[in-house]
Amino acid sequence: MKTLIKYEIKTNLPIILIFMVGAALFGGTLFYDSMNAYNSYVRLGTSSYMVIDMVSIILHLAFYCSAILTMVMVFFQFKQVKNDDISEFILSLPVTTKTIIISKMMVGIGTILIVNTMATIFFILTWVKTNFWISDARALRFAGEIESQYDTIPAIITMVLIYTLNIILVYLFLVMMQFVIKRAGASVTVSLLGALSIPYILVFVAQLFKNSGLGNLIQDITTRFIKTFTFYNVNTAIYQEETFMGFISYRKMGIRELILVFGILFCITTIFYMNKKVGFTEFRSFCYSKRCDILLKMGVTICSLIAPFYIAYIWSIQNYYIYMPISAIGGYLVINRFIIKDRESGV
Amino acid sequence: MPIEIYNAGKYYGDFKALDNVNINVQAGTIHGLIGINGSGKTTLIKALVGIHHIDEGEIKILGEPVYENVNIKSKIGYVADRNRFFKSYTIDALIKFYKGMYPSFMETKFDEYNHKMKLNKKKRVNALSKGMQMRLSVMLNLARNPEVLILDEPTSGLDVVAKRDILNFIIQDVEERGMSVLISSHHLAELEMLCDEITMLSSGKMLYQSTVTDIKEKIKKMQVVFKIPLKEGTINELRQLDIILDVSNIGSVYYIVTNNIEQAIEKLKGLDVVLIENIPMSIEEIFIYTNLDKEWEHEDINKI
Amino acid sequence: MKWSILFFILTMASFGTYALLEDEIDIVLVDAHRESENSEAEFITDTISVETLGNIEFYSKMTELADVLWDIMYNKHNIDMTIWTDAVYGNVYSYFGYYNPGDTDEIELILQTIEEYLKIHNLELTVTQDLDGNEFFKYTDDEYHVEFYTGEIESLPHNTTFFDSYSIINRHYNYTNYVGLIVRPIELDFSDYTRQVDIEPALKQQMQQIYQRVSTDGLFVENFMFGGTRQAVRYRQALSSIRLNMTLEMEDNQICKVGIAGSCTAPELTITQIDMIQKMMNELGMQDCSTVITKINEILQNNNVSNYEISEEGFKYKLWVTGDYNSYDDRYFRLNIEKPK
Repeated sequence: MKTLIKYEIKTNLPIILIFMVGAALFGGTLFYDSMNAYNSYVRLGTSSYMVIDMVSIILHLAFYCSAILTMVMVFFQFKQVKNDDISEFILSLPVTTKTIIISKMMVGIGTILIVNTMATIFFILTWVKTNFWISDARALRFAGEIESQYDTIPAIITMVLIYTLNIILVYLFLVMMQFVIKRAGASVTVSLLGALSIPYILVFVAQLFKNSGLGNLIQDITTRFIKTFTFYNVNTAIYQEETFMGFISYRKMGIRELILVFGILFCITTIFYMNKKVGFTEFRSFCYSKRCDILLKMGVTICSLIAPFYIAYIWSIQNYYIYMPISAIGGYLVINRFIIKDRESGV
Repeated sequence: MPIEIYNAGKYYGDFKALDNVNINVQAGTIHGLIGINGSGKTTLIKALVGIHHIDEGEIKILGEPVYENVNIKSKIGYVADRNRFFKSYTIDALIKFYKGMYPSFMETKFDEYNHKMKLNKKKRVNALSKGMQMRLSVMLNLARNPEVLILDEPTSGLDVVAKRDILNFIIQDVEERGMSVLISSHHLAELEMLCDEITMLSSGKMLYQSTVTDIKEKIKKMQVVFKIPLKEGTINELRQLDIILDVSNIGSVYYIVTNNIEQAIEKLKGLDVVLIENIPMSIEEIFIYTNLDKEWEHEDINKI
Repeated sequence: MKWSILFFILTMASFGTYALLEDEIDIVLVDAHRESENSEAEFITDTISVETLGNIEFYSKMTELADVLWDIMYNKHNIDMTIWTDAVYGNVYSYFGYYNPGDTDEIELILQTIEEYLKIHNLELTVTQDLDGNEFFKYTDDEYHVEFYTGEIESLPHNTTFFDSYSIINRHYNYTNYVGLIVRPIELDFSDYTRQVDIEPALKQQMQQIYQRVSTDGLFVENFMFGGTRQAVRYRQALSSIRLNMTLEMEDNQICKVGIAGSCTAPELTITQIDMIQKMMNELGMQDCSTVITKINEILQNNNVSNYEISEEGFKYKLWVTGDYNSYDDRYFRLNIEKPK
């Protein structure tokens, strides 16, 4: 396993370095920006400055960059063992496929942890740096005391922890999908589109029922879905409002974090199950089985069916529904052709 | 037995790449695997080295199933038909990798081989020529002292010198350590010299498995002259016979390939034959004639 | 396989709970070594509508004025100036700056700028003087009262937030002069404010209580300011900071002004502050203001209030009771006691 891990690190070094540069950039930006904030704050005293809020904003932006880099990392990790020539070499080594998977996951998750730790260090340095003048300024602000209570180092660490859970879930989801779709690149693409398809479909359904409670409910669900899995608007505190007070109240564990943890566990257990069932070589078709191919075709057809709704929205076209059957058939034909061609070339 | 394959079957989708293959390789022997492209050789080899598993039957190396068996896989050497190593690695890095993966790897043995091969260890693998890469692969695998060595077309595209070197390495290890070898190749002349036994695959099925001598005893080519040259109809009739693999002629001299010479001679005697002469055939020729476009049934193995 | 299914179900179940049942609040575990006084409280989800929190237009005009002043003083005339705005939602707006005089006649410059600015926006100023003889501009219409102060920092009125910000600023800079602007509604009363702000019933009730206590106990409430912050709105809570300026009538007809300001994050604490003042009033009786300091000292010590300092500057007594803003346990409040002339 040690040799495999060393090999994984060596092979994924470019991506790991890009991750680190990204962390340094995002963390460094915050650190640098805090120095500017000092000037405007002390001089103008106009706005509140809280490191934890800045961290939340930065991490939300960083999420998208990290997600893309994670997709690239998973692609390169699994391309070697599934599609490249060297896959045969790796699979002939005296290791089980489980060991191969574990070593990849250790490197992938390890990269995420190290990089996020780096970012946390920057955030904490920013907090330490700004604290000397922030406490002064907060003495004047009505909500100064409140701000100081939740702009703390443990809060920053907790926020980065949640962010880390988010990114690890993205990574493990992509790894899990590698056992569903044969080709590494196609797998990453289908994973991304598959994840996007959920809000894509839900928004359409919400629109269909827009004048009813059901529509609102679906809208809510869609919003929550996006917020849960894209590190959106993660705040650090809630104020208890019943009493005339503003001290921090907290829960031991947020539901949202629980979703992430269960999601991670689901992905891990499915990865090991699929590894036993399919491994890296037992794909029967474009997907791991013909039944899965059918599911994929159904998914693509449904998404193609809905496409005119979105096109109509962008281009202000009326009566989009008359185009729906055409787009559905078109989508089906495309994915069907794709799968057939893959089957023909793959054997 | 080091290598045991029982009723092996493998599907790729609906296509059956291997169909009821049975092979046994004795310890300290070299077993050849021949077949035209797409006959299932590589599929079988991949199953033997644990890259994938088979859907039917059993494959055992040193008495144990191979797939996902770390202990057994560490005792199998695998030389693929082309470089499948990490492209950016230098030879040194690759040696280090092998040492990490295989505790039995002996760098001293590798260096002994390299003394003859003179490969620059600092060079990247993908900067080596095909021949060098193949030599490297053999050297790396032999330096591990595997109990079973499996080679997939190790000499294709190599010059004569490289071929000779590689085969010598293998033979040496077989003699010294009693290593068992399974080698697939299109170069049947080499296999003829090298192998103790040969298995021929066609469309995923076994055509025959036998020693070279036995095969040569079974398949014969006759040079025949008839009193009256044969009519086209008669030639076609002959071709339809199970015992006749091929009939061709140059002028009045006919060349008839048969898998049962006694019966064939009896048949020919009824056609006013003047001269029947046995012509020696190489394994290559035997391979060509046995892979002519003719439908073979599974029972055909017994006819040989 | 069964573990996969189990965790899939758990994931869906928790997502379902979050999507359908949970309020849209994202909580994380924060360092909370302190104990919640009211950990069983429910979370109220009413939001405060920002639009009703006062005269945004007026507020933005004043903000603009701050920028104009800054531009003239700092950018055009290189006068090192720090400007603090102490914006209370639409109701009271204090805006002030500190600077060191240079060669330019800054006061004239500032007054000119403000005058011109207000003229452009149809806000005319009259010049008047306060009790201390400080000249200032006053603008009054039906709604708002604008006061402009200028002078040396030494002569800063203590019952304003000028003093608060000065103490902070002076840790980073050394200024000698100030300029300030206060804008507040003519009659700021509780009912007026609650009309403007949609506050939770519980909150309203407590504010009502404080107001009642203050006005029925014979304390003259000169300037009751209530404010909130953007942070508060975001977290759907109107925080309050109470500033009570009370005038005590002494036996010898002296007027002793007691100002109390603090960030109140618990009603109990606010009540405590009032109680304390109440106590002080009772104990002090009609005593001479000079003995007020000693008495207050005593009262504070008896009530286990720590981290305070008392200082004397000329004829003014300042009593500062401060807390560490980074620690929840200490409460910040301040007593300003100004001995009259």
